[in-house]
Amino acid sequence: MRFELDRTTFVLVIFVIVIAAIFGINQFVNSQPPLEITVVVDPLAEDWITEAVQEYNSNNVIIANSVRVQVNVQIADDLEIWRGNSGWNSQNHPDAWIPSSSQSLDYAPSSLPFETVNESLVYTPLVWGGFQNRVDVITENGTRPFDWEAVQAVADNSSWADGGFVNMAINWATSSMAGVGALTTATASYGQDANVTRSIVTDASFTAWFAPIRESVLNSERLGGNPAQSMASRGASAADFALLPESQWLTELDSLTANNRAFAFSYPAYQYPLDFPIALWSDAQVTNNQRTAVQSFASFLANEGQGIALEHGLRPSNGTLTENASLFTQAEPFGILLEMPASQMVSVDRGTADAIILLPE
Amino acid sequence: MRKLFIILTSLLFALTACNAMGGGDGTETDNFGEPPANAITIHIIYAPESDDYMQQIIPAFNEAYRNGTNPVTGQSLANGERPIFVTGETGSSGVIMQGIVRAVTNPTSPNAVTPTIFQPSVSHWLALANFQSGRDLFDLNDSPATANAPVVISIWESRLEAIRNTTGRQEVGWADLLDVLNSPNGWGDYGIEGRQTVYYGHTDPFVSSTALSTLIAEFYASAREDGFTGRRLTLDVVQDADVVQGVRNIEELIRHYSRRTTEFRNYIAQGPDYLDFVALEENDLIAINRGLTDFGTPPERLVALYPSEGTFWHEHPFGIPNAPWVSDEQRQAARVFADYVVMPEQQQIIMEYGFRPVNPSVELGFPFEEQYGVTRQGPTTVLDVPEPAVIDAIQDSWSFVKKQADIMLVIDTSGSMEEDGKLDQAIEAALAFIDSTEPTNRVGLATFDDVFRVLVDLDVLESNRSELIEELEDLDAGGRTTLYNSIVETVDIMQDLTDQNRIRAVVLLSDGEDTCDTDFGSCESLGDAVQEIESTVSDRNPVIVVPVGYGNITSELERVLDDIAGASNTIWVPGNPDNIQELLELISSFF
Repeated sequence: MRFELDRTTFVLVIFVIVIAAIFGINQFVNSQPPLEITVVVDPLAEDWITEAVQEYNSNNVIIANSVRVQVNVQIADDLEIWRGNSGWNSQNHPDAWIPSSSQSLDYAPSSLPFETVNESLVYTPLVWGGFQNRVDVITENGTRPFDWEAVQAVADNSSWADGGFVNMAINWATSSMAGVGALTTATASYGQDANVTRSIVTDASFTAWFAPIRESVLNSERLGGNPAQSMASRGASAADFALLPESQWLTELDSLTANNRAFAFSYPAYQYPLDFPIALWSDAQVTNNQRTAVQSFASFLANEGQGIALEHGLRPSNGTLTENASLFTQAEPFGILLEMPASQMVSVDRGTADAIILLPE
Repeated sequence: MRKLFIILTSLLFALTACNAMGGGDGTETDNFGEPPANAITIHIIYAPESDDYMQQIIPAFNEAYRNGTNPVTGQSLANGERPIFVTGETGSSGVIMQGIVRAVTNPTSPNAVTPTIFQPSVSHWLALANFQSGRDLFDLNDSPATANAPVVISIWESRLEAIRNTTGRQEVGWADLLDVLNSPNGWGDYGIEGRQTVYYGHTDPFVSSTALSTLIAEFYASAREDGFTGRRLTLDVVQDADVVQGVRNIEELIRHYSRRTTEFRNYIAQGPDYLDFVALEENDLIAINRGLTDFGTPPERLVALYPSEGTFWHEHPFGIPNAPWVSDEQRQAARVFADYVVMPEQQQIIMEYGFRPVNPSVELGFPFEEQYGVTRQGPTTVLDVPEPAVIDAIQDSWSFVKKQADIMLVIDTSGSMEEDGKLDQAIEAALAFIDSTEPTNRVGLATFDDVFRVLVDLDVLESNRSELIEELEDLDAGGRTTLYNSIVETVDIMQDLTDQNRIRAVVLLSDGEDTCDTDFGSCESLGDAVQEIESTVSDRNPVIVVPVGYGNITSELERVLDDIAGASNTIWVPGNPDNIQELLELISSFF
């Protein structure tokens, strides 16, 4: 007896077999417990990494032929880690760390054995931003740069001519490398020298110069981790101007400039490396699979993750935008540059950073 | 091929459904429901004004996890991702702050409070907790704002316009309000007819955030008046005698205090005859103008005065204590909840209750409209938050700068008070009151049965405390209830106290209707008693009467108590052995 299949039934049977095979393999891999890696990230990259992790996890990335990788994210600011408050040890530690600055890796104690996987995934420069009427006063209607020297002069007057004290914001230096960075650039500007040492930070003439700035930034301790957001929601009553990471400004641009509110950005002469490296916890207990999983995730961030980073206002690691980045182009009329200006990078040793953190206290 | 398409579609749907299954199925037993299995439970204590929106936000957050979804990412829970379950309750910021400090310094204290998240109205309390506990309990920079509300002076539009017309300036501040007080004819000099005296009110700065911010603002205003030009108040400044006297002058405007803002919303909603202005969070002002108080829509519009000297933002921060009762996983869970609260959908809900969104992506909309007395721009000048030690000193000055009170305790000793131990209950309440009231207040004691008699004259408690206690412990019941005669006589006595600018109050503890008999003398009516109270309403310090009703409160008696309390816009409260503390809080809230 000959068994004949009509064309429709034949297609259906083949389809069911293919689907069942795919589903079966999928079910098998999915039924195996994934290799979970924990990545600790600074709040400055939280939104980017959280979104990237969702995409990475949904891809069900397989390493070593059959090991599925899932990434968990924890948030901790860099200072909490390198100042020794992380509580990490050989028994209790994350698999990887994405600090906001490569300086944090330099400052971390030797008891935290991190090995750099990628020196810089993305980059965000520090940018001055302020409500236009205040910026006009600071820059004397555009005749001097919107930078530390002019800001110090305004802060030294304490009040604006039309009343009200000068309120400047920075990220708070005891919990944010962006805050440490802002104050580092202040120190460099004072000495007109990218080589900042502890002796300059503690020098009496510098502290006298810095005193009015200190007064003007004290309120920013209450503005939380994202002063740009506070300025966007509370206007100038939160702060008149600020030196913040570009990514924070860009993600609040719409609200900062709502109702045609005039706002202006400018880049300082000195920059600090907010360059987001990724490092692997590397000790004898780390398995090859863990190492490969971290490398896989780092590779994802350096490639597919770059598009997501742009949407969160973070630049590629060389700073120059090579693809369409609407957040940046939208901000161009307000002073955001598509190509990075030639700023001098300032990095400081751990002892100097410790002294800088205390400046607003 | 159509058959094939249907079969394939059904198959794919079935496979997809298989993959998507999972999640809990909790049964709600209260507003927060039951925690899903393996949940990380966190507990939040939040400011009372947040209750309306938290009652919506917390259940929605829990429900998402119960359905197997992370409410922040909107994704199904990942393998190993534990659900989070939030419970919450309200607590006055000052009281909870003290409880948290106690939990650290004296963990076995019955008043210790151990939340995973503390949401006071303003971060002053987090700074104070750090100061008073001597450790970094809260990281101010890592306590995200969740709802913005500036503290405003809520003033009747006619009053504000009168000041603007008289001064010729749009910008008005504390100094202008003091000028009205010091003007020879008060409001009369500003073209306002009727009562000339300025009436102001605020809450207790040990309990209420609005009151604490207001008191700090008053110190700024007084210091500026005294020539202080610095940007932050210092200890030297707040302890300067002239500055302190300036704050006392502002407090002289007080008609009466209140423990919490919740009550004050109702007081001011009664209209311009009751109070001229009161310090409130902007959201409370909006609620009053929207008619969301017991008194419905107010007789005229209250408007937000953002004082020219500056004010404070109340940012309703989420403080996560660095304390042993918060585990690392709870800390992470608390952050997830904080992230959820600042998402646009939740911020929209929060805005509907009159708070400004902290998430700038949410555009300011309803109810930030002129008809509700606010401007979209909000305050332009914000005061610098002083160091915690200075805030602590300002709080400590409270008993000295606050307006003092003269309080007459009037106790019904008629025969019916003997029944069911009512007299004993009244005595117990009076003794507790004497024990808790400020020693600088003046207190007296009177009783009534067939006749009204003053047993202890008004005097500062430091002088007559033992006499008051002795007389209270000797009270006996007997005779008729000459309630209305007693009210008239007491108000007469209080009205004669014109030597000092103090709050004048009568606390009336009674069980019943007036049974005065004309055979034994003249009898006043309820109308006479009410009229007597109302006759003081235009005085600089009108007499306020707070009745406490004991025993079975009949509808007739309820009407009488309503009329007596209503004559001075207070409220009456039932007294019983179980609510003495509540009673004391209510009575004390007026002084």
